Amino acid sequence: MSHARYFPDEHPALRETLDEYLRSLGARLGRQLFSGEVAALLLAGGYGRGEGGVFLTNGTAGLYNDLEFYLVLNSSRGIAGPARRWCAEESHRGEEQTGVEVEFKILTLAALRRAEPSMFYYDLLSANVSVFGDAPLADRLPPMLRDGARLPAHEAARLLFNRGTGLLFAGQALEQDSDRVRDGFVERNHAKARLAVADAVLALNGRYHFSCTRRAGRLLEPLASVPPNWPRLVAWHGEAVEFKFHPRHEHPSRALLLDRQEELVAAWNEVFLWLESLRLGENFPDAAAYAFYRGRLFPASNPLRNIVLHLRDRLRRGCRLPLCAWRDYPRAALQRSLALLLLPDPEARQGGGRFLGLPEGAPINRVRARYEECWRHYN
Amino acid sequence: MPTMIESNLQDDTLYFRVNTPRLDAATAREFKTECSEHWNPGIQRLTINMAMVDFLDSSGIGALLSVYKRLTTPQSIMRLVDVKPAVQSVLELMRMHRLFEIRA
Repeated sequence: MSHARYFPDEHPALRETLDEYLRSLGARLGRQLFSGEVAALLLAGGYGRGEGGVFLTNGTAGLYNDLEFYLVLNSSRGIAGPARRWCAEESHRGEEQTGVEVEFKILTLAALRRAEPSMFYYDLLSANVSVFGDAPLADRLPPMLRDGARLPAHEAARLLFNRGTGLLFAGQALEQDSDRVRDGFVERNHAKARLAVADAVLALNGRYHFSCTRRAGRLLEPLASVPPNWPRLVAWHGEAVEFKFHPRHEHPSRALLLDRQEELVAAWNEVFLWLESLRLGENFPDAAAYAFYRGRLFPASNPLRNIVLHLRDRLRRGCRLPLCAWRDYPRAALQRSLALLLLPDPEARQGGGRFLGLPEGAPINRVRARYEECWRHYN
Repeated sequence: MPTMIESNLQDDTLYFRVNTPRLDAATAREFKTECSEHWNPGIQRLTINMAMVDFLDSSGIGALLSVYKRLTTPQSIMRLVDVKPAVQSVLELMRMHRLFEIRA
């Protein structure tokens, strides 16, 4: 099931449309002057892994998820500008052709060769559709990047951090009763969080797999460490896999979505603190204990390099994290802040601002805006 | 057209036989849809014959739980019968035996 092209179900017309789009995309890339320096163009994400969602509108199948492409260059020397322009043009064209968001990102072979194992590289290199390029890219890169058992524990925390951020945005949409409540944004983020709370446990146990159907099976194997309420998380994962393949907007009432939000945030909090306690060899009984933990959340990171990163963020990105956070990897401040921002108590939530360099008592909307701004650089 | 479940309703008791060897991401949705088609609010007892099932994943667990949640009164009972040993181990690992009866 997980090895079907683009998506698991039979939708021949949609598959053919996507085939044609990729063929023409590859051909257009081949006509670019910089194409000789292109190692590969890969379709990654759900469709690249054969696990994309298909949304049915009155019986007609359409794409649901974004299309994520990675343009891998042998070297960016002298061609970064033209490559970026081509990606921007193709992103626009692709959205018009396919009706979904089309994203292009540029990587270089040198950066890939230097990369540390991460969920992102593992997913990208283990399963994708090659749109352009001769030799399989993965063969030219260190095999450890394709080893799901070697993902570091902080990658499990990162997965939860990103999905927890999705819950934060979903909660904000619900609070403001914005249009996002009605366009499926909240349901999507809830489904992603349901997948992640169980997937993070697999990653921590060295049992993560790029295919969510394989993960669905692995969840039922005996695992060395599981968090409280594990069976409920496994059942949620199953529901989320089903949503991933067969997304639908049921437009539940706001009240029902608020109930689900509360339940998911509580589960997220429980799993996140459990995982971080194990990863750091500490005991975090609640979010405040985690947020105000005196040690570094990324103890293996180089403090000097962290200072350079913070400095770069301050000067180039306008991301002003407080000086007291500079010895740790910048995502640490965001993780501490998120743990508080997801709490039900408004006063406790406001406390999330202090990790983002905001004064005591900054309005919650300002705290969230600052969080979002910084999260974009460290997700 | 072959169906995923065969059903038989007697008074307030519904009997299902699962006609697939795998209750997983590929089949869970159809399983739930077919269960819905046979359901009525008066059902108090549900017996699911699992003789043919030899693989369950998280979607299968989710599907069984979603059927279980349809039983609304405290007196309601759900039983899984003819469960293969490997499937029984998985169900017990997931503590499903605390929610419904599981018999080999």
